[in-house]
Amino acid sequence: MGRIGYRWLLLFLALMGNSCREDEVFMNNAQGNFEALWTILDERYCFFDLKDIDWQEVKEHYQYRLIGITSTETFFNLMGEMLAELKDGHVNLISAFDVSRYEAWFDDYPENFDGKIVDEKYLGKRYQIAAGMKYTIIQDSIGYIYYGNFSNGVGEGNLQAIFYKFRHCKGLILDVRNNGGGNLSNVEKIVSRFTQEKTLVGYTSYKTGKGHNDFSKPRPTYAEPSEYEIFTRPVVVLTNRSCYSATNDFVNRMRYMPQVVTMGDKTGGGGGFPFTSEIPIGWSVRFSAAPTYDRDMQHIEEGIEPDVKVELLPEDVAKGEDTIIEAAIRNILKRSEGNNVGKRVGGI
Amino acid sequence: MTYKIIKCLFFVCVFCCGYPVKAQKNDAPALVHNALMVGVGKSYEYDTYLSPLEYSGFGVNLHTEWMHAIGKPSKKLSVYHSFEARFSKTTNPSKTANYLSGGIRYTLGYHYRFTPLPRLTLFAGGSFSPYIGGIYNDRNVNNPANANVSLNLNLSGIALYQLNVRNYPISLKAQVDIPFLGTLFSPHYGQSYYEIFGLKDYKGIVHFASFHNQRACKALITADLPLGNMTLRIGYYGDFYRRDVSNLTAYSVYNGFMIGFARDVLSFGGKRIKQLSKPNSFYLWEE
Repeated sequence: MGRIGYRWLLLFLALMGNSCREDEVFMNNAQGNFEALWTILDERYCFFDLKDIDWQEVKEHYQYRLIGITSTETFFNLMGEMLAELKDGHVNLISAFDVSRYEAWFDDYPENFDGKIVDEKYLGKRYQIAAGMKYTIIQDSIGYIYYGNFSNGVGEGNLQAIFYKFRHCKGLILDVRNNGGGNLSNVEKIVSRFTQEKTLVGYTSYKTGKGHNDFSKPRPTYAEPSEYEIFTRPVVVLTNRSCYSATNDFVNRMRYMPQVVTMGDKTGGGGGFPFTSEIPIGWSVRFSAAPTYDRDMQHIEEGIEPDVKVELLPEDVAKGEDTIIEAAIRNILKRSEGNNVGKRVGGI
Repeated sequence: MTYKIIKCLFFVCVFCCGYPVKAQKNDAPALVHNALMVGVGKSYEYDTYLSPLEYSGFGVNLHTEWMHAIGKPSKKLSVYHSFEARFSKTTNPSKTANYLSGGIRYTLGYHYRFTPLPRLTLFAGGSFSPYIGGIYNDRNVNNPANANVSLNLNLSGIALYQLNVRNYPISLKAQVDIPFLGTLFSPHYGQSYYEIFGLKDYKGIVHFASFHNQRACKALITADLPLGNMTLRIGYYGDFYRRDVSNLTAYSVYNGFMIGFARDVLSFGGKRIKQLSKPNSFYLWEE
């Protein structure tokens, strides 16, 4: 049966029921690809209202600019520009020759991280690595972990080894600066090691239809304690604007643990669970499809403020010191003095 | 509501499975018609959960079936079992991404047999078929796959025609199964599998299925050609499926050429071996 034949059969199958809806078919030309891309976002993107974006107006604007398109590359750049209107780091157009991206969520802010200082002054040469986590004991018997990517798989054995090393430490600095995200299952596994009792950490929702406000009823998300050892001594989680996506979710979960203080700069955000689709030319498009909220039902798409705001000072950098790690050390020492692990005790 | 339907289908299934055991308790062994075929064909896949584009490519499939008469004394009833497995690899129109899809289906059917013309035998009845399968996109990240799981009651019909071409007997068979009632699985429009299985949000993912949201048809047309001591079976296999659930549309079309062997086997065992008298082929029935 040829291509035409099976289409007739599909039509027949459609007519057998109440529905004879035929799906919209987009042509593989500039207009067709533009409409496919705009429609995918229109029907499936989840933050139009939060960001107050008039997507119809965006369509009209870029439809007009489509007239001057002469090559595939200029078309790609124009579509990338259109997607940047969403101001979302989870939105990308991916072709064989380029990836469009929106990076203002960290480019427009101070970095508040210097990897060279962390390597030379804090990790030194004798640090260990487990599941992508670089860990060591720094001054004053404080444990330090640098975790740069939540895509690095974490096993319970890895965490057992790390926490065994820190068994006599006064506290722990968990540095997730410049961590752009990864797998949520790793987030859950690590957070469970700091969760003393089942804790409400937020809500999730997803789109139920094509309308901009067609969302499911938010469903609570809980952090559950691990069946292994729980780290209950003072913990400081270090953040900056490059904490994005799964890392943003990690920071959101960790800030509700009583022994945890978040410190540094506001996170970059990325509170939308990304989905992938594609347009006729074969380019794939990634977009935020399902929003997550904190436990006060506030969006975390635009970042999370730290408990204690600290910036990397140039004079400290000149001395080879990390202002934020030093502040975290003081915070842990202060909190461990009175054996009080509560939040914001002592401050910096 | 959905739970009640699943419960009802379960009892129908249990009843159906139990029936032939009772019916055959005191029967003499009957010939069981059995066929095994493999095939290749063209496959089309479309699933808006993964992509708005239709993918096309090739597929391979396996089909095996058993059929025998039940009931006394007229043996007008027959029971039919089949097991099918299919795998397809398809690509999008610009060849930048692939789908790997496949599934397995078991079918249990009951038919009433009648003979309107000397060489023509018709079977009409129903069948029950659970299907489990899925589709995987090798490029998507958080929505890389979608499951295709359903449990259906089907309208089922078979036509057999015995043809003689210059003393060369050929058996032609056409079979159609159309699901009319059942349940199917589908995630919600923008729901991820992490949400379903990671966060255990199972609400509303199993749907009542009928013609309003599921249209499907399985067709098998074969010819049996005696070849030495064997019977060669060749044929066409068509599997068409479409569902419209939770604002998501998915369809799968497969057209394949099949080849294999058919045979009648004597099925007896235990004490039934003592009752063996004159077995009669059910498939090439003689009144």
